[in-house]
Amino acid sequence: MNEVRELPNEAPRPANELEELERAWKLPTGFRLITAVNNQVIGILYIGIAFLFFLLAGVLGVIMRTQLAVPENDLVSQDLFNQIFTVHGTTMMFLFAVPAMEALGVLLLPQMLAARDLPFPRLSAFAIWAYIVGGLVFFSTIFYDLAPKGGWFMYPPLTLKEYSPGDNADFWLLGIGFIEISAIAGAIEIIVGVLRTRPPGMSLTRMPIFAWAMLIFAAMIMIAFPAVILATMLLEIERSFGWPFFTADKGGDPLLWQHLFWFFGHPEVYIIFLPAAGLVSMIVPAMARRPLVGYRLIVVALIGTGFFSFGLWVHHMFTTGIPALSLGFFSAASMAVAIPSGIQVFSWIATIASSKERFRITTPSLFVLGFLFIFTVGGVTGVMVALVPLDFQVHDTYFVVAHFHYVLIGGMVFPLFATFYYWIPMVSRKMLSERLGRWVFWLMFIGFNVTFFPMHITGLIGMPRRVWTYPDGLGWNTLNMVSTVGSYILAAGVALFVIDLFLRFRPTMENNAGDPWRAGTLEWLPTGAYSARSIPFVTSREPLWDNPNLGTEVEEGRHFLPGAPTGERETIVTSPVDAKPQYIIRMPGPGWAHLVAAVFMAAAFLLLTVKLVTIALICAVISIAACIVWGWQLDHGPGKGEVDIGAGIKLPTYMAGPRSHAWWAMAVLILVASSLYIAYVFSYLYLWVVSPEVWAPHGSPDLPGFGWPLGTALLLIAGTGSMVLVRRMLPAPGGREPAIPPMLALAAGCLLAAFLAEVWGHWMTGLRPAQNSYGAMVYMASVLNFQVVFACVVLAGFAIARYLTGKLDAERRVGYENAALLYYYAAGQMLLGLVLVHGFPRLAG
Amino acid sequence: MTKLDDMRRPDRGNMLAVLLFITAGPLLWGLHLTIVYMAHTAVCALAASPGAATAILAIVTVALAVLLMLILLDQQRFARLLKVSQEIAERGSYDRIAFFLTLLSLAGILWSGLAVTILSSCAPGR
Repeated sequence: MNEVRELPNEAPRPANELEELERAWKLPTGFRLITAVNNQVIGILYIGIAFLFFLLAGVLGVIMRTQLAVPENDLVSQDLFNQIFTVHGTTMMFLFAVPAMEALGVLLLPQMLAARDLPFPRLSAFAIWAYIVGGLVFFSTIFYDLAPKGGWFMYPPLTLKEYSPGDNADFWLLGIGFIEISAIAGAIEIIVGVLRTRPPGMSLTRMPIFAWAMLIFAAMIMIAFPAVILATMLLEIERSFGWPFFTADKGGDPLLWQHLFWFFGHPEVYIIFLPAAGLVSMIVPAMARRPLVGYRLIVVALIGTGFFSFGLWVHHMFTTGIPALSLGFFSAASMAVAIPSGIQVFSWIATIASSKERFRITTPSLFVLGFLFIFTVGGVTGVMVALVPLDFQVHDTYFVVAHFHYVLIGGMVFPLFATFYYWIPMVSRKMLSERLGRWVFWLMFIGFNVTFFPMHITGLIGMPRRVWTYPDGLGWNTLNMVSTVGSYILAAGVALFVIDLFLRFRPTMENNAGDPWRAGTLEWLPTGAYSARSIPFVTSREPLWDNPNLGTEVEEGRHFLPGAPTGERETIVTSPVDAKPQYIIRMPGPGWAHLVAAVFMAAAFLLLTVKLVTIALICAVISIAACIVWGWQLDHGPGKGEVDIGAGIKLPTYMAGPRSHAWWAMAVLILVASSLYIAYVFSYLYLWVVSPEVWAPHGSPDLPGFGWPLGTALLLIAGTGSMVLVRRMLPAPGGREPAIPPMLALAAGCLLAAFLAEVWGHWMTGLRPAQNSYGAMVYMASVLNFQVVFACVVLAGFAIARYLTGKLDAERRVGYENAALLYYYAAGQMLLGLVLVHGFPRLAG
Repeated sequence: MTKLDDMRRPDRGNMLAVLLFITAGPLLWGLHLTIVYMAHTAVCALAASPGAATAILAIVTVALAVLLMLILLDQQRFARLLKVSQEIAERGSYDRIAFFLTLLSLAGILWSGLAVTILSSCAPGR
């Protein structure tokens, strides 16, 4: 006997409910479309721009292959070739691979979680516009001889001012640094979205694997990206002001850059691969018409890979003179990461092998099979280069170029094309052509292998990477010619895909092509601009397979939140583990503020690159003002009371404190800031190990007396106390407490004074940042402190303004909580800095 | 009680506890790598004492491996220690995920630690 299914809303829905929902989620029209924040609109824009960068960087790749087709070729000059390979690698890694995966997160996650949108739609839109403006300007530098030339990893000393004069390297440092901020904004959105906007009943262990993959992807971004942000800050500061972090004769060390860069750079490979693996884990069961074999083991593999990937960075530095035993640790970890990767591969093969009927061979499945082959080859050569003696032989040769293209194109580009063919019916009126798709696949698969397989041999017989040309008679000619021919075949496959896209891709939110694959997950529910009409109650991992009527029930409004009870955009926030409904989040709709903030922030960074400091500062002020306007509109207050979402559950429409999504976002941001600071602490200690002779008290002026750090610490404690007191003094709604503004101002003042005291104390000793690496590191702590102090001062001012306008009280207190959370973190960071900067040299000296 | 009724009850899952329970193994693996790498680098660079470096690495490896084995042997006790509720949905799945991650981490620690028995400390890598 069939179990009687209980539905959250059994009664017929009111007549005007759907119209109200449509009105709340209506898209802006005409030129105002650029202010849209719906995840489907900005998700498509995001993936479209990322794909554009893939095409542009691909063209650069083909130019490089053409230059290398024959020996002693002079199609492009040596200098331009250096710019081309730098921009090719940088664009593929920073402007295509990571953004494409974030774009898929923005586009697919709300659909898979049946949320109306991600929790911070304007933050997503901000990240996307910042990326578009910053990315396009960065790429365009190749057209006017301003592109960087130091390779995508920009190693000093080559990239120091002495060896790379001009602004080329600065475009990389400021442009990429800025784009990473955009990636972090996207990661915050994804973490809070996955943990807090799942549909009721979708516990962590019922989440689609793609959601797990994106959660780990975003967590990895939070830990990895700050390391390279710090590295870009250090190098840019050294280039601009001469603080010698990387200059060996002043106690710096170029290897510090490599440590910081690869602590980001190796996880970056998995940051790109894990979401792609998540996509494959969604496509394979649909084509096999059965649940994924080993769901829990795949979760183990994703988490394990995420962790292990942070223990591999030194395998990029095996030849730099690190002690043999340290090499052994990283070699072991590099081999061990093959285990979780292998678990995933075997799970997919097992799912394919145990298909309900024959595994369906469609264009998406062809790309998945191609991925399995190519990625496995890349994985095997990965284990080879994890072996130190072999790495010594093939380091900086074309063998490595072959290896990482097998991993990256196999591990990310092929799954991405599978994704295009698989999910385009969700957002387009028409599917892409299956017939053309097979042509695209075979051209790309053959082209890829013809291009990159010979490079293994080219590398083994000695051809180094990044050479502009090569002499005749070394035995490299035929292999290079074959690789070049292959690159044209690969390019033809991609071109055919673009043609198919133009012919068939017709974006829509209401009249999509439906679910041609009969898949089991929620993104295939009928949708509109509001996503699903009602938010389904989920009881399994493949809800559409377990309840074939789910689509109809959702469409009829039988599940949770079938309308827009507050009259605004909203979705359900659920608990992070079991996904039980907690409150309704009211989300902002279209607006200009985030757009203005993004464009002017990008302008500020780019103008700094060309040293137009005054205009850059004006742009920064405009951007901050736009952020304040944006933030002002977010805290709606508890005025709408509770709403009934179905099943007799009434939820509040406002939430403050540790349950609120704003609190979670701030907590995640603080984790990012702490990652940045930990990278700084590592750098400080690293440079001390390398050059203890320049450290105080022997190699630099003596430290300030104990009174300075003590006074600074007291200021921090006083400010924190003031912040805590404000929480206790917040009045009930409608009440007044005149002491709140001065108390907040006092807290901000204490923080600012503590920052200034720390700088002034060192300045008085005669220590200067350009003196040696010790001085540079001491003042760098204050640079990092300045960032959080500035943010705290702005947020404290914001809270004061909220209070003065009657928008801050004991109930409506998100504005205060955000300021307080960051303040506590800032005080903690500065106290830790005092211990390190004032305590460590005394201890070690 | 129906599944829908369960949605009306408060969530007993503590996110931080569940997160720590699942990732305890990988976190200890990370701690192992951090300690052995930093200790080895610092001792070799500053004291040039291969004996001390080897001893530190061996002690850290054995201590963390034993800790992970204890977690594997009495996983439920570890869960109670972290206050992971028995009432969260599909609790068994979390147990299995945590078990295999701990096992994977133990393998990682022993695999890395093995290097101490093969290579001499502080010898230059090239």
